[in-house]
Amino acid sequence: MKNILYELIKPYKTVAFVGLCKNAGKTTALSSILPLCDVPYGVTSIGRDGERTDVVTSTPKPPVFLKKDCFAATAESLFRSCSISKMILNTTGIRSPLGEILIFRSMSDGFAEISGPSTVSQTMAIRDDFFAFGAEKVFVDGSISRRSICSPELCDAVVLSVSAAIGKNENDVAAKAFHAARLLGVPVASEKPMVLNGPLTDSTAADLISGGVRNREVMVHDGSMILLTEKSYERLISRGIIPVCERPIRIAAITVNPYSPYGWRLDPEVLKNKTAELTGLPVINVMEKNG
Amino acid sequence: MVDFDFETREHVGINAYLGHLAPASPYGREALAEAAPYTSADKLLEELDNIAVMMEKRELFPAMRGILGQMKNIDRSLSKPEEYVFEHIEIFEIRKLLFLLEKLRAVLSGISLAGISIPDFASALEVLDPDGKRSPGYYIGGPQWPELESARRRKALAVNEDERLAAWQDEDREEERVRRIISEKLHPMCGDILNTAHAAGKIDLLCEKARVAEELGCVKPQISEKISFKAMRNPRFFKSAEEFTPLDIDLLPGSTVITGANMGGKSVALSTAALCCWLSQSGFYPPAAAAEFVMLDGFHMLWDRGTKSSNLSSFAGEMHALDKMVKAASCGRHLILADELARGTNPAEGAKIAAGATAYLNTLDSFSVITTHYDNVAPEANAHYRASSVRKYAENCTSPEQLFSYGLFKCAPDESCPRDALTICEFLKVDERIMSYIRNNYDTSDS
Repeated sequence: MKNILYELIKPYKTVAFVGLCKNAGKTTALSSILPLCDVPYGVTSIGRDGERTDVVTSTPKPPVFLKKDCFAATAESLFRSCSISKMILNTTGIRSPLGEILIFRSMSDGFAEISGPSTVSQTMAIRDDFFAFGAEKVFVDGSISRRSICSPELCDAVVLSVSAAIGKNENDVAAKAFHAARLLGVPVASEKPMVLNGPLTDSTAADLISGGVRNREVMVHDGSMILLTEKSYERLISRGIIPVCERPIRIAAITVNPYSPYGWRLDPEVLKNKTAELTGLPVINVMEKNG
Repeated sequence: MVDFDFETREHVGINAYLGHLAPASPYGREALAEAAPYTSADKLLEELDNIAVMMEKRELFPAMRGILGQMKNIDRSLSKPEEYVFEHIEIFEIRKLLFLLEKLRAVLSGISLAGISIPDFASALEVLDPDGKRSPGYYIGGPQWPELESARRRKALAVNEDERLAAWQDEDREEERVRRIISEKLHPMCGDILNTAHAAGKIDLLCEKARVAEELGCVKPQISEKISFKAMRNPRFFKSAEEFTPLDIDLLPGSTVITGANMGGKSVALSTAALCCWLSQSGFYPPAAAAEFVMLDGFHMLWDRGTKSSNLSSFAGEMHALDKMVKAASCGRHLILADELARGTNPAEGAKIAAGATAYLNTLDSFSVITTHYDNVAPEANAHYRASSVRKYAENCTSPEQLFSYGLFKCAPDESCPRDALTICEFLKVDERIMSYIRNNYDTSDS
């Protein structure tokens, strides 16, 4: 049986996995596709990922699987403790609390704890190194509240992950996924827009409204630069102020995890269908085998 | 060797000059941070000659920077005790450094630098890159370590987690054994590798010295019996070289006095002479058209740092520093600089103190330069310079460049200090209400 998620991301070279909350299931999503990837790939993360238990909530987290002859960026101390046979390709000079970030090639199959650099520009450098060393695909495991890794400068497509932890019920989780997806996925500017050089935040939105702007496109570089609450977004739209972007972000899929680390569980089918209905995007339940 | 402290380096423009240098490697940056006056003339001459050699090889700089820029400081690994077993990453770093040194050696093959060389590390490379392919990736393993490879095969073929874990432990143990063997072979060479890495840093710094010497129009200084700089400039005070009027100065043992109007550039002249002396003796080309200097035993400067660091009055602080300086300079040859000595007390006494100090400094074999507004000081020195002269139309001037004709002019010992303070107040457009009172004073004292 085909893995639907893998089929959805197959066309893209660099794919970022972004969670809207802790334990959103993005690493599960990433891990589900890595064994299927039939070309050499590189994996890095923003922040520490692939730990066996989550550092914040102590819930089990899946490690990241590396095939032989693939690439990973991780910190020195994690490098030492992983059971894969490794070839060091480069040390990056980027320091992290777990030691310097280095790039290695896996000389055997196995599982690794991945902890790449924490900024987008450093991650871009790692991505370029991966490609230079022979990777054909690069996967970036994002962290919560680091929306900027969705930047089209870094990746060609994004997989967005949400879990029950983000909302009270199926509708609430779906609505939050929808809001995040519409911000990231804002369309490219069509007319002569008003150009914003920084992010579009709630306070920028308030300034636009109080400044009397109406029926105008407001352009940011890309959707990761829009940090609006649902309320602010709605307020802008009601005045005809349409957020648009210069470079679009492609959302390849949304994954849902019906389990919350805090104990409750949502109906997986309802959650999946609601989210798909609202966003119009392919939705996959990560806790279900083969999507 | 007494050297200028950090604040004085900043004040006279040494840091501004050194700020133009940007070595590519951590070893080069370390060498730059350690820049200080040489005590051995032979070593200094070697360095100055090496800069000249490098200036002829500018076409090689991009290639050298490309190599040097990839270096990391791995002194910590290279200084480990002999029984220490290197980590995988450390062996990778040592290997990479050796690759880079080998490349640097190739680029430098046609250049001979005095006292600096990059030796061949063939035997170390034999250990770390047995197939000689120089491929960047480093993997502990290969056919020469059959036990390690067999553990890895077992790990790959393991059918369950227990087997896998057991095989991995074997692999881990074998890998450590291999690292121990490699470490034992490397340890005797680590000292040489470390020294060579630092030699590469010196080469890095030489490239930067040569580049900056050309960019700032500097000259190779000559060791001599006198200090003499022609057309010296101070990068602290200009953005482009044309903004600075070149200054000439000759210093003989004993004292030299610089007088001149306020804002006329006495302190700049003093700082620039200090800068050029320091740079020359520290193995840099000074920004001048011609440079002769004397090997000195110390560099001292008295200048107004404000009284922020002590609770002494500025006069007490200055006298305290003068005392310390005179004691420190009591044997050997020194450069002693004093900016407006004894200006913080009443002018009649200040003049006597400045004149007395100048007379004493004139008896020494050291080189002293004193700037002052007091008339009776210059006759006590063996040379007298005037910094700039004022053109007399302050009202029409919009910039100091229009008011002053800048320069450093040799003049007679008894030439009195200029009386330009009033002109300068006019230039500065001091409020007319107060100016009328000031002028009143001038009229009564002149009559």
